[in-house]
Amino acid sequence: MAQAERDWSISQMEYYQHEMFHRNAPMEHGQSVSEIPSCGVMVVLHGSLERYAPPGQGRRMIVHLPRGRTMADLIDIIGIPRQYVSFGAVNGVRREMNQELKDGDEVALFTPLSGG
Amino acid sequence: MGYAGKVLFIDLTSGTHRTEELNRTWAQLYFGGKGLGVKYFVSMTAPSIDALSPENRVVLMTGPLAGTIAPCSGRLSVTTKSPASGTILECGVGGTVGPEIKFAGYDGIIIEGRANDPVYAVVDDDKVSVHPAGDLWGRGCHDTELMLKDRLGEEFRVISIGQAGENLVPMACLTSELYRQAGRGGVGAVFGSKRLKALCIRGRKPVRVPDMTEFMKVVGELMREDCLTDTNLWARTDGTPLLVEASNSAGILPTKNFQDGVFEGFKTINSESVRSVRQRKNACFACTLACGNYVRSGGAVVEGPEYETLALAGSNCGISDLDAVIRFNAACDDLGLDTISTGNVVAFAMELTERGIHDFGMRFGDIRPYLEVPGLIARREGIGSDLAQGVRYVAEKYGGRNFAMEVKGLEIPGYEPRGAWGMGLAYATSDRGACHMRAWPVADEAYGTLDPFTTEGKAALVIGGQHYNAIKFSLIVCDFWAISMENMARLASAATGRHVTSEELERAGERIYNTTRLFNVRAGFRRAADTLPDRIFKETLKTGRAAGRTYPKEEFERMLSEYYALRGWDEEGVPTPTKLEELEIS
Repeated sequence: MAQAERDWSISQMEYYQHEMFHRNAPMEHGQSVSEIPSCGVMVVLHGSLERYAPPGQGRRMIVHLPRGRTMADLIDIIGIPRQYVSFGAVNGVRREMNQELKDGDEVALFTPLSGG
Repeated sequence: MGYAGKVLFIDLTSGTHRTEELNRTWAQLYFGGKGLGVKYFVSMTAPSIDALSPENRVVLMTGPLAGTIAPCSGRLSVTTKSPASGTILECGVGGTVGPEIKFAGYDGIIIEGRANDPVYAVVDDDKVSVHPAGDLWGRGCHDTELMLKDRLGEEFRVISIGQAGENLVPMACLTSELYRQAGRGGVGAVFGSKRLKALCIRGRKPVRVPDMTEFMKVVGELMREDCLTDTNLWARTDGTPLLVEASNSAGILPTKNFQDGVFEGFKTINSESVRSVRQRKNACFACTLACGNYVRSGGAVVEGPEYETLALAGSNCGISDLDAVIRFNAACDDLGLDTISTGNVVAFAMELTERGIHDFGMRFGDIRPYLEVPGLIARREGIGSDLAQGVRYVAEKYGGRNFAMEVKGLEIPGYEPRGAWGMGLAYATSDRGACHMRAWPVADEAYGTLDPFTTEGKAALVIGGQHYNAIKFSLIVCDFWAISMENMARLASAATGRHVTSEELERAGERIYNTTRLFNVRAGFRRAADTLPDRIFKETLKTGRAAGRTYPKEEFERMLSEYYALRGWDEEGVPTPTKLEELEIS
């Protein structure tokens, strides 16, 4: 479980999002990115997941993704190893990983928790 | 090795002390901390005694890792008989007091008898003395600790009681280093019954491990590969307040005396809010996680509030004002009160008032009376004289038995069982009443991938958790390091110098759990006491993930029978002679 420190730069993050975007919704010839139906979600990275956000971002960030994507897709886009996300909540209620995200959703992601 | 090799006995009746060689056979079977403390306690104490009589004892026990550089090893285990539940009571306190006992040359300190007048005890390496505490009696934990440090020296570690412990309040705790508590079950009242205001410890002896190079290698590897990972670092970034939002999302945040599992005001008492008033992080001895949040807000300073306080004294009382919760927390710390039980009894009084059963003069969300209650409870004044006796007593006196949220007389912590059915079994079968520290199946149910609304497989899950925590709190590794059994075995081997396997640790965990059960059985507890309040079985939650679901009692009873069968206990929950023999318990 050794963890190498992640060194995100904003450009890397944008690049990764761009890649995911295209993989999931290939552009037609002559179509611009802005024409693909997309949605923006507010992501809150709880606990140590904060370090998967671009540096200086804090734990809240807006992520754009093609419509029809799920919470699991979002976790992949951000680049968090799946074993470090115990569950996610959409608009304050815990949801399954296959929950489809909608424009304006607030998605909270939590690490595994122990004790109490 | 790993052990100091001595146990100190302080007899307050005669004011004398003696040391004994550590019982090495017990140390092999029970390792330290909870296990060894419980073994010493049950070997000397009759289960039928009154918890507040001189015949009760307090066993403070360190583990083989205490005082070493092993991460998360800085806690101390405290065992006694609980005045709240009448069960055996083992609880833990962080900070530095555990390692300090080891530095003074002892694995444990056992306090016996009762002094005629208030006293404090001083353990300064081999010098042990008992002094009059007339000038400290009546003071809070903060004053007491600071005055004793002024008198004895800054390097002394102090563990003390406040006014609640002096007045034998069954929800009184021990406080150490101002903000850390052995919180549950009334160990503070046991100190009070012995008229022991404080115990002060200073040690200057070394702690030895068999092979320093090997020990450092193991600790270094585990620190990198198992401790400082995303699985545990939530403790550093946030600490337990993170659970407020997690529990609220999962629908298990106790709200208004467990009437709901979702609190509309959660955003003002969640981790982001606590972080906004945080001054710095605090850690126990040798801890790399540093879960403590040192905050200043609302005119109060506190290390906290922890999740349990935010839940039981926050959402469960309908309080969404973080400043108010912090002030409540600070008051309880100083008076020496457990915030879980105090929050619960306040919430119960609020519901009794709202339902017109008895007027305690406070409703959910009323901040002023809420902030006055801890002082009234600790001094047993006004409504505090009833509330000090706990939820069970208040229900018996005034009514509301169906929604008196306790098990065996100990109030329920911050995880709603209707949204995590295994957690209900964990509360019912905990060795000290409703407790979240014996097994924590919510990690898999509410926050993980298991179905929370079934009893299938939960008996085995709870048993596994109970064994895991029993041995973890015996080696003394903190709850917040989700270390594997295999890696615990590596730590235990490195500290003791003998080859310890994970199977041996698992078996020791089972041995410890059966030892505490046997004490409770001998104190009169049977199946009928292993249950949950009626509200859990008869009412549904209004909102959130568990909304509208009942937790059928027959399902719970079936799971309980399965639990007993898997444990090798009879239908009444009594360990069978075969099981006891198998585990070498006499």
